Amino acid sequence: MCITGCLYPDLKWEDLESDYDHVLNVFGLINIDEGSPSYIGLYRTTDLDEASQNLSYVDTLYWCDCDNDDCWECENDLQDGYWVVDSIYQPAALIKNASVNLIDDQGNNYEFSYIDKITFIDTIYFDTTFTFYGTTINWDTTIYDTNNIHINFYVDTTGTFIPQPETNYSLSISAPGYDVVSGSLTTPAHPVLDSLSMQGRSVDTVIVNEPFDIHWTQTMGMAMVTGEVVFGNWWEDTSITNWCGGYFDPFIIDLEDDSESSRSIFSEFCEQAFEEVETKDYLIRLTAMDENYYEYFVTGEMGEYSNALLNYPTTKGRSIGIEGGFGFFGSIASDNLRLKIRR
Amino acid sequence: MKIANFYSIIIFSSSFMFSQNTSTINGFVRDDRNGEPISYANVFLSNTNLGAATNRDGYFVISNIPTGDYEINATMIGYGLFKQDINIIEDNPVRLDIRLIEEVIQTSEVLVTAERQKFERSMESSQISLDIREINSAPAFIEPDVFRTLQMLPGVQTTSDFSSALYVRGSTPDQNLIMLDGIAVYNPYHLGGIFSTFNTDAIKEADFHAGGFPARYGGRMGAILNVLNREGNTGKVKGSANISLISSKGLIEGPLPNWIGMKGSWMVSGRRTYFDTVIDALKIPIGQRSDGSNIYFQFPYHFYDYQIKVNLDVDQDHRLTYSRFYGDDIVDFSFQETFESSGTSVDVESKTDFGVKWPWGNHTNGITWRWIIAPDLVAKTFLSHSRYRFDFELNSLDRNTYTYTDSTIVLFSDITFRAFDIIKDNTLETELTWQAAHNHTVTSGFQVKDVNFNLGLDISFATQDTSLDFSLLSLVNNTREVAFFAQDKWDFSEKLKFQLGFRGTHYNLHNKLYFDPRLSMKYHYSQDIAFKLNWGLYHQFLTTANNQDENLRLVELWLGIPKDKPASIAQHIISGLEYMSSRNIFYRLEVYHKDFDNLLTLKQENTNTMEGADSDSSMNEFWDTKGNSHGVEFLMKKSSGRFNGWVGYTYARTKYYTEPNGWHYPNFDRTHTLNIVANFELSSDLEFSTGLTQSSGNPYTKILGRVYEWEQDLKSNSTWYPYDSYIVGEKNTERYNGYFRVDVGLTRKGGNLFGQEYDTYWQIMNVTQNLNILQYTYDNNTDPISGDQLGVRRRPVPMFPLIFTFGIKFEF
Repeated sequence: MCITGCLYPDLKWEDLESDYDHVLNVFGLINIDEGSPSYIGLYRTTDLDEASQNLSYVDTLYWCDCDNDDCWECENDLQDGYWVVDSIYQPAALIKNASVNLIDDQGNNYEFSYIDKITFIDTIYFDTTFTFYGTTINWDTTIYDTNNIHINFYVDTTGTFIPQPETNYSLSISAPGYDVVSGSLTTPAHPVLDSLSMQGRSVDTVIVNEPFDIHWTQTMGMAMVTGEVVFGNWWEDTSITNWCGGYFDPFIIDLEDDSESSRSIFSEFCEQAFEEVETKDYLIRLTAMDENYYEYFVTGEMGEYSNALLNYPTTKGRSIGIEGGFGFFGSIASDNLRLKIRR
Repeated sequence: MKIANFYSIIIFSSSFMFSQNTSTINGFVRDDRNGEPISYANVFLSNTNLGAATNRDGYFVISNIPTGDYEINATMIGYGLFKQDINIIEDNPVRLDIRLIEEVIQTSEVLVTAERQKFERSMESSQISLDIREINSAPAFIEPDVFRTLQMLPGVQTTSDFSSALYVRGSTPDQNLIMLDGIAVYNPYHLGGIFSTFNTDAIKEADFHAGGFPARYGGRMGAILNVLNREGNTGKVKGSANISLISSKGLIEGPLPNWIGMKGSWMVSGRRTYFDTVIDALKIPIGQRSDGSNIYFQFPYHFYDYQIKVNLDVDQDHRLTYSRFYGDDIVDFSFQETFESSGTSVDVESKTDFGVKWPWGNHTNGITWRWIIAPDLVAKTFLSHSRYRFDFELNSLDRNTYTYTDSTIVLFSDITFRAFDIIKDNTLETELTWQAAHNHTVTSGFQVKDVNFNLGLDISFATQDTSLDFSLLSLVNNTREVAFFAQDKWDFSEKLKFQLGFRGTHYNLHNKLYFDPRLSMKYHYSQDIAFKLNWGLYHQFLTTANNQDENLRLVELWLGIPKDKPASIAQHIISGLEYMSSRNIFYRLEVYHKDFDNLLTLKQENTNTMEGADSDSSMNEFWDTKGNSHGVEFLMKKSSGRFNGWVGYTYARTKYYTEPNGWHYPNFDRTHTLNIVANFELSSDLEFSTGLTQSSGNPYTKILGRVYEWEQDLKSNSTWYPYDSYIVGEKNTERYNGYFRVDVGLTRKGGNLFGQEYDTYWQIMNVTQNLNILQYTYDNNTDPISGDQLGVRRRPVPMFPLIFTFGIKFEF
């Protein structure tokens, strides 16, 4: 017995072309948390034969020392380490010349302007002593790191736009060559996260592997509850620090539901044994969302055409809170509890 | 009511008119070699126009024979002529069990073939019976397969080479009633549909109705396939074995020992794949455990099936038949590892135990009691249990033991995930066939079908101090269909025949009676040409919950029609013209139209859906769907001779309507299909077979452009990530390239190895190596240096390439 399956010789990729009438594609967010920006991202749909994302810049993150087990890209024992860089891509189909206006229910008009980047300078102060070829060196210096964050959004550059809860906002976007896009929403009320308790007692420190209850105040609309261990360094995550415990799946609650004002959390079980007590910051966040935001990010889209072999998600194009284009116009407001988590 | 009374008077008066000074001859016609009943044999009295054809059980009855002396004849192509003188005495029925002796050289007296008998007797349109020789005649994928052969018939379509599922005249596979010896089988496939579960060695005949089926069949609205197993050799113990690339199978059959005058036969057949055992025996190392022992490659999949049939003739009028089928696909994988470390204050032992057990398949058991109450009245009572099970279970246990000098701490987490769909079908059915008059055959009966559907998703989680059980999905339905039916085959004249029937079904979840009238008419324009017309309504009380766009369907998830959804219904209208040539070549041209309503199409899963959202489960959410299909089919079939086979052409159009997509072609729709199956007997020991299929491409949904969509990450620093999504056009408005495949096979008979006779067969599938596209897979073209996401490209996912297989079959 034998079998010979003569597989097809190297099936070729075929470049696709399309002739599609483009529409504007909007990412519109009003964030009523103080200090959190509200912005409008504006793009267009793209053809199948054009670029969808271009390299914007390369950001140098940190030096990865090959003595560290986490630096798995070290190729041999002689290599000291390597710089970890992040390639930042931006959508190729940016619309930069549009007129974007927000109008509140008092009739106030806020014109948003396009900005491609914001610049800030990190100040890093070093005060250290180390030995280099037998010589002890005291190093005391300050490094200034200039960072350009490419955002490519339309924002309020006048400082006059201060979004309010439970307020109606209308969006109007005009871009040459495209249909006018309009949108509307009602911002959510500020949610209130009351407390966190363990075994009925309000606590400010969560113990890993022990269940706890999150309490909130009933207000309006839908909200999402999330929790995260805060490491202080933004690039760190649990895989780098080997931290485990405290993670739980975000969940959705109805803030108007009288029958539920708290929920018990059984967070990720941590199997490790710890020889020393370790404590980290732990942030519980309650994010209220308007109907548009909920529909776009939570309800999601009924699958249009999908199967295991397709390789990419598909859509017929969603317009949530807007008309005349694709995308969404939504709003969020949040409250949080900053606690400790101990293991 | 008046019409019914009038109709009864006609039947009974006809019966009375022909019952004076007459008697009957009844009995069975069997193959003398093995005792298997011969269907469609012609039994007639010389120099009269009295005669009958045997039915599927080999049973015949000739009624209303005037008293006198006759010569009875029984003929069947391939067998010698049977003749016997017989004397008919008034009211003294004659029981005659006829044995036909196989004969290679045909006598000139044998003019009537089974095909002609079928042509003359069959009332239903779109019905075809394939015997084992025809099933085996088409080149197969590794092994002969009844479903693959049926896919070569007009009206039957498929989605791909990887599926043996039958899409019949716009009906999806769940609309087909598949039976093995009359027992419903719910998911009759191995290996995700590549093979059917029915072992052809055990099959005697497959009876297939593409539509317009009579009232005795119900509960489905697409097609009927009844696969009949062999009864077993009544003369001596015989057997066969077949070794193919993926499996070995065997069959053994023989007579039951005579016991207090009772006799009978039995048949056992079985099949099992052996890749798993071969690979396990080879011990291929793929790594090492921490203790230095080798980890060997496992092939964790196999399937098996076996069938048992026992016939017991209690006396000449009573027969009990027990039929069993067990077939399962099994994925069984496990992995264990232990890690130990010793520290200054604690010793740690870490154990991991991971396992997947995933059996799916069918178990059926059935008992049939056939009672010849009178020569012209036969009762069949049938009790069956059919269970389909899909039961995926994943278990992951991590256990850490910390041993200190004065204490031991054990921490563990035990996670079990289970997804299952279990169907238990218990059916009681009685069918009475009454030769009410020489021109009326009445069939009636009732059926009680209890089906328990249990579809669920469970997760359990346990640690040393916590134990949680979640049931994410639990859909349990207990449905009961109580049906009664009656049909009369009425020979209005020599040329005009009717079959009138109805079926009433009470469905417990709706507490409602559904009424399905069925009508068939046949007009013999001449001895060789007949015109047929069929109309009927067909209700269905179950459905499947599978993604409508998937091209590879591993299992079907069955549900009873829910309480809040009406029963699915279809209307069949079929018109056909049949011609049997003088050379016994059968021609059939049929036109059909089907309307569907109250179909259920599973809503596709939401993207981005979160737990707690309004619509986070789509396993029980459906779009109400309606549809229609119409088409023209042509069949030319030659069943006997050294050169036999068939040519089939199908023109078909099927459209479904759902709210989000409007009217659209389902993914199995193929407009034009040409099938050719040919079998050449090159010499007495060499046969060549070929199968050719050319068809239009299946529909798919076109990608038009791209749009950014976003995902959220609401942490302390909220971020939103854009990703590319493809904008799709109207559903299924594009079609893949046409499908073309030629398979060839060669069988050499009469080999001899150490005195043991054997046949060898070689097969090449897709001999032209045509690229048939299952679907496209898409990718963003990426600049290798900058990483820029450039244009979109696609690549076909192919169906079968050229595949060469061979096997050996022994008989003993």
